[in-house]
Amino acid sequence: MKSLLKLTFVDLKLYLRNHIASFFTLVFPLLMLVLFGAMYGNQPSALFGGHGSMDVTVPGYIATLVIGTTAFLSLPVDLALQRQLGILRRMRATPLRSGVLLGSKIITNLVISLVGMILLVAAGALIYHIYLPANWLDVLLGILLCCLSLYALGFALASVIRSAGAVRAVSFIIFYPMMFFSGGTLPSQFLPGAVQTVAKAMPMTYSVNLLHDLWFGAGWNGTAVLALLGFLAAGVLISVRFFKWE
Amino acid sequence: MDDLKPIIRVEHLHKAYGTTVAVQDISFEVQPGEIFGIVGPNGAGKTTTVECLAGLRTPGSGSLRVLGMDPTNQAGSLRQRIGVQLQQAALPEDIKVWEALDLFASFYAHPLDWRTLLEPWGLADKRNARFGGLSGGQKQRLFITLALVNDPELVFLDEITTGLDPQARRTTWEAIEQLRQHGKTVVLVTHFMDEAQTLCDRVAIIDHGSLVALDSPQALVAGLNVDSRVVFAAAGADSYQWLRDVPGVSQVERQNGSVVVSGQSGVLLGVASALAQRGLAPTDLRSEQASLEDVFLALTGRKIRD
Repeated sequence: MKSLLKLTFVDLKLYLRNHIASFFTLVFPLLMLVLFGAMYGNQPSALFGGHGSMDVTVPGYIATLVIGTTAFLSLPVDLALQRQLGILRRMRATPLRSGVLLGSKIITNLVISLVGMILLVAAGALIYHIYLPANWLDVLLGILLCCLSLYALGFALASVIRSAGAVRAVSFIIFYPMMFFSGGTLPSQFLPGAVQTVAKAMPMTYSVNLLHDLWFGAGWNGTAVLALLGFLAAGVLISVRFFKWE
Repeated sequence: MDDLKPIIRVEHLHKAYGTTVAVQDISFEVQPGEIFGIVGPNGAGKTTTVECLAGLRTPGSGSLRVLGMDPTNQAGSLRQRIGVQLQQAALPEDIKVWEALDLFASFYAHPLDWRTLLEPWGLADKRNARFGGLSGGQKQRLFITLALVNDPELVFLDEITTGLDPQARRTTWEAIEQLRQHGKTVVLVTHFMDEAQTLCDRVAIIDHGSLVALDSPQALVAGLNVDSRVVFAAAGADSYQWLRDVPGVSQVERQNGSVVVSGQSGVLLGVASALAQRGLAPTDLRSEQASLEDVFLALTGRKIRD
């Protein structure tokens, strides 16, 4: 327990010292919010079922720019890099158990995602008076499911690809199409039908849908829950099978 | 009778990676309190052997007992009591020296106070320095302190002076001797023969995965019956053949303005006395002892660095 807490705490300190990584998850979504907010405002619109553009954007950004960037851009690349440099191997030579090492990575990333979310929601509330959900518990549970599911996929990515450079390249290829087509940044109403079809195969589409529905009180989207659980299982199985500490 | 039990016992260790045999049929014992060297050229199988002993690799076959435990099945318990300094070790660039020590100390059930390790290993003024900003020597010292943070009985050090300048190498050697004085057993892997000769009580020479010799450096060198040489510069026509009367001298030659006297070890004293009796005192008189490099050459037919 002591090592888990200490490892997590050190990981968080290191994350903040790495300005590029923390910028992407913590600052970038805020910049986007302010940029698009300035362009579109937050007046209620029939396009968004009576909600404003920013109302819809915030849960969308949480799913894509906060959880998504953590799961696909930061987690797998950090892991692969630490493995390549021999950092993980050095830790394995100590009594530290693999489960604790893994657990600390998950907790660290959950904390980072949570902070990113809080910043985004606070900014949205202060600047655009966005709609805030009544059922926070459901929303938080939904966020937890999205995190675990997408993180598992991020782990799987670092498990099947050895070199950190290759992981970084593939992470971009995976993340950016999802960012645009999942409906979390560009509303899906505005995407062509063909793209919406392709988006059905993308994990982030389901995290966007799940959070959107929970946020606006529409309850648990069954399809999204099943899809996310499926991705979680797949990610875990692949990681367990292929991950190596060196 | 625990004093008589070896701290490490290796029997018929065998390890292959696919079709490449890294280690074949290696057996040896390490006694408590000694500095035991595993020496050989790069790629000989030294690191593989040590990684099997430290529980980081599973041997293909063979029996291993470290501190009475099986490294493969009892890795968790073993790791509490050993310290390991790996060859390609690294830490995150942004971690501070004290944070690394504090973190690693938390992995062990009974760590010592890591603050006591800073001063003796020359890291006291680097306490708050980033790992990425440390020099090569400082990084090596940090890795060694990380291997000592649990006050282990047994320490494995793999190529710890590679890339260090001569001053840093000497300081590191002194520190390793201190470990023995504290009652620790050290297994030192190195391809530097001078390091093995200076530090190790006994040395296992490994080449192409096999054990080719195992004894103290002195015994290995003596066993060669390789001549020791005394050399000094001398002008003039004297052939110096009268030096052959000195006990132990087998040959006297002139080479390019120098005189080379070959004989048994210790012949330097006799030659110096004989010269002094004739009123001769060459200022560059020196002796060249056979070393472990010569041992390696004799055993394998190759220089250790090819």
